[in-house]
Amino acid sequence: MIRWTAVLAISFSGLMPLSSMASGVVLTVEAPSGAQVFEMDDLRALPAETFETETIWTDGKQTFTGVPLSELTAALGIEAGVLEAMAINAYAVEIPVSDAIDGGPVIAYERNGAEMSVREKGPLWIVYPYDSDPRYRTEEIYSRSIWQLEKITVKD
Amino acid sequence: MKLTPQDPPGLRRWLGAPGALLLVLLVAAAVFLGRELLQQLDSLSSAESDNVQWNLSQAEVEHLKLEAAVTQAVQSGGLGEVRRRFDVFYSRMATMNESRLYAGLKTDPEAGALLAAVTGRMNGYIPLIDGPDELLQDALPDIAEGLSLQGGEVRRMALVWIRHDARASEDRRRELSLILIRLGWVVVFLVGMLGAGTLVLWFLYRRGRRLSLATAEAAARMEAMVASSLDAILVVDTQGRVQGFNGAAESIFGYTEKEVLGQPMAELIMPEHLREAHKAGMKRFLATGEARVAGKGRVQLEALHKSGRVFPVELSITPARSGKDMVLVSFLRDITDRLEAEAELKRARDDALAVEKAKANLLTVMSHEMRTPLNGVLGSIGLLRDSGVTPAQQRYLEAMRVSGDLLLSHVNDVLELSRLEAGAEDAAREVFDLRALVTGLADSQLASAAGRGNQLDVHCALGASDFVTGDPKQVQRVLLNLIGNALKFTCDGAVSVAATRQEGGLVEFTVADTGAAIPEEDLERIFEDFITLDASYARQSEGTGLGLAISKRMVKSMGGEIGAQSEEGEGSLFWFTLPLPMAEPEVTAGRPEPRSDDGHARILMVEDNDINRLLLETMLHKQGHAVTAAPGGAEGVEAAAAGACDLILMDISMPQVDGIEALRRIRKRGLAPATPAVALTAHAAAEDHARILEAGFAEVLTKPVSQQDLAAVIARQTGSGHLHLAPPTPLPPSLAEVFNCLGVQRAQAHLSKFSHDLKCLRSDVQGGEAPGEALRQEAHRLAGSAAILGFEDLRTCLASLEHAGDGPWDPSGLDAAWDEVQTVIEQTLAR
Repeated sequence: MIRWTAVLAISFSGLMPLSSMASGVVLTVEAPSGAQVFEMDDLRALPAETFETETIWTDGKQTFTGVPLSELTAALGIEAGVLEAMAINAYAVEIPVSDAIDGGPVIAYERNGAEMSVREKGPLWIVYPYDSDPRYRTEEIYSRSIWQLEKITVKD
Repeated sequence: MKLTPQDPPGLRRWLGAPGALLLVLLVAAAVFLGRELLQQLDSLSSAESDNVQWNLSQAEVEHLKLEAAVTQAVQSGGLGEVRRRFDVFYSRMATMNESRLYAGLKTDPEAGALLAAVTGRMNGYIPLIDGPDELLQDALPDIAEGLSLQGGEVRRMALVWIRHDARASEDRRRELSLILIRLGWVVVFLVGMLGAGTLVLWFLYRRGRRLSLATAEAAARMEAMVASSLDAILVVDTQGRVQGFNGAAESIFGYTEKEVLGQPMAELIMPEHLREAHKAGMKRFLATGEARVAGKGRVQLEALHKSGRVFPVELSITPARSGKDMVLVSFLRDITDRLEAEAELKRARDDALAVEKAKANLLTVMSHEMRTPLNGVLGSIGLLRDSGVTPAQQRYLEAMRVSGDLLLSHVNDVLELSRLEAGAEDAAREVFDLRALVTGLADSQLASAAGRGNQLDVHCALGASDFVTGDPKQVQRVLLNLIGNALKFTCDGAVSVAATRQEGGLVEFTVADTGAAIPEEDLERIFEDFITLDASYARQSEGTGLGLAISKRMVKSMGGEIGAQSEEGEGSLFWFTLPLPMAEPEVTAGRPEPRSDDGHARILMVEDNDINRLLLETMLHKQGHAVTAAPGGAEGVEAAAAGACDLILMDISMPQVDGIEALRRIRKRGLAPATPAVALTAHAAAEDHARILEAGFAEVLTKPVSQQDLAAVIARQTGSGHLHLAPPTPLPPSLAEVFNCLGVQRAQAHLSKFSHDLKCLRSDVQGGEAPGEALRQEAHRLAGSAAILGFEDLRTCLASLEHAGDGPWDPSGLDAAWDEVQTVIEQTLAR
């Protein structure tokens, strides 16, 4: 009986994210010009980048794949200002658009080759390449590394 | 002056190894601590920690929200919210389990247990959360209950963590402050060291200043010395360029310092003929370091004045180091004046010497030249006296004769002195019987002593042997002189003669008298030339004052000493010591051995004086030699050309072509290249001898020449010839000469007549009355014969008879002398 429950739990834990993803929107971007929503496929349609880095919240090397923030801002025509990112748990932080550069942060949707559930800080996680630059290993950058991202508000 | 900066030993120790080690350690500590501090700062700046406390409180908030969502769902549904809140909280718990930030949390026993419990429980809810809605709805009340219990655990976990975190930051702070304190100490030490270093630097600076002041002072002094030097000082580098030129140099060379600095020294102040040598010397010095002038003291050279005048300088050069480079420092002095003064002095001295010599020469020549006419005068007086003159005229003639004799003896004295002065003759070395010489001499003076009422006695203490090696003629001459003087100045007193052997082959002779004393201050002076002490002395002595001077020279030439002492009222003592080592009596003393009986030589003899030429020719013929005689230099040369010869005897002073010139011509024409030439000369001076020997003569024979002299010379130069004159037993030399020259028969006849005449004379004086005029004349005649025959004692006695006064004459001296002579004559006639 107990064994069955465990098998069930495992199968559910794999199913749930897929169902929620299939159900629709994962990211809403609110700009003065209007709001835009993204489903997971929309994000995957954008240019992707993969890098390997350690983080202070995980154990060992992690491979992240996602949309570079610079690609997103470019796609949305955002050139200046700040992005206020908000998480499911209502954590909010401001990221200056100047952070969105080549080799900079990505909005990761895969970690170690698999999509992330909410329990695994998914489905979206803004990750900086911490190992590549000591400037990315500061408390400010860590505070901007928002996980369980669901909404970005563009401010001037 | 040389200044050597020396660190005080304390300072050196200070700056030594321990100080350096300490400094290194301090710096190392500072570096180490600084690194540690940087690491600490780095860990602060790179903020390994996310905001852990916020996360923990957030976990509590999210737990509360989950609880609230569950409570809400129990009452009015909303499972979606429950699931959402569960996921959020779950992911928070997953982070705590996974992240190394929370490693401390897990290792803390209490917090670790709480985390494990919460995680376990949450994992337990997962099947319900992920399960169908109905099951979840049914399980909600249980979940709510579990969550409410769990809320306390989550809070507790946060509190534990806060405590843990506080402790950790406390540790880190303490560590940091410890590092800072250590760093502080290191800094304090470093500052201390810095201070000490500054002190040392200050000290060194002060020392440096003091030294530089001292150096400056020394330099200033040196500058003053150089500037005020009377000698020119030049500094020249190895390229020969002038580097320094002082004031004296400016005045000596005529250039200003500006004109010469950096210019080549050789071109400026060196005469052209010295430049090449200078360049070569400089090159050698640079290449090998070997210096001929530099560092070798004072050197005399010539220098060039700006005006082109060349003048003599004395200089010394010293190589010195100036920094890295070698320089040559020269001190120069213009010595024109000094050299002139020296030359002046030398000239003055040479002039004085020449004058002195000319005077001496004049005296000698005059004396020499006077002798011949004087002989003529004396001879004429004798003839005149025999030509029947009045008694008055006879007296005048006698006075003239006495004066003439005196003059002749003076002349002879001067010539003797000159001969001795010239040092032409070496003392002879023969073996002779000294006792016989002294006693014989004293005996010969007995008559003279008796004539003045003096007693004469002799003491000989000659040790083991009476025979000695020395020059008997000179010993006799000196001794006779002293005895004669003693007898002259003593009247009715005593004269005592002694010969005593002393240590080291010396014999001391003393002649003491009881006559007039000589004043102390005159004792040295009487041995000087031409000294007679006073008028009365002079009258008494009838001498030139040369006797003692001649004696002194003779004694010196024999290597002895002579002196005198005198005591008022007691008389005078003259003494001399001579080196006369004892010897074994020799039977054939000093005669050259004939080489061969039939050896004879071909001799070319050149002599301008007819009589001398005849005499020499006779002598040479007698010795068995073939003689070619030439009457002058030119004829001599022709004779040499006409035929070969084995020896040339050449008179030196001849009119027109003299001996030196004649020999020069003979040699030049290669007429007798290997033939030795012997000079004949009356010139006795040593310098003449030197001149003659330089001209190529093998030796010099001084006139008058005896048979023996000739034979010895011929034997020496040609190795041939022998003496025909050596009789079987020795004759008195003069007697032998007579026999040689006159031939045996004539000589014997002469001797017989002399013997007979003397016997007659003796019988005439036996009476003891005053000798008459005829007797005196006879005594005079016989005295001359005695002199020729070499009977000196007899001659003296006869002379005393000749000059005897009107009083009775004591014939005892004559008897003694005759006894001796008679024996010799009888022996000779008996052969």
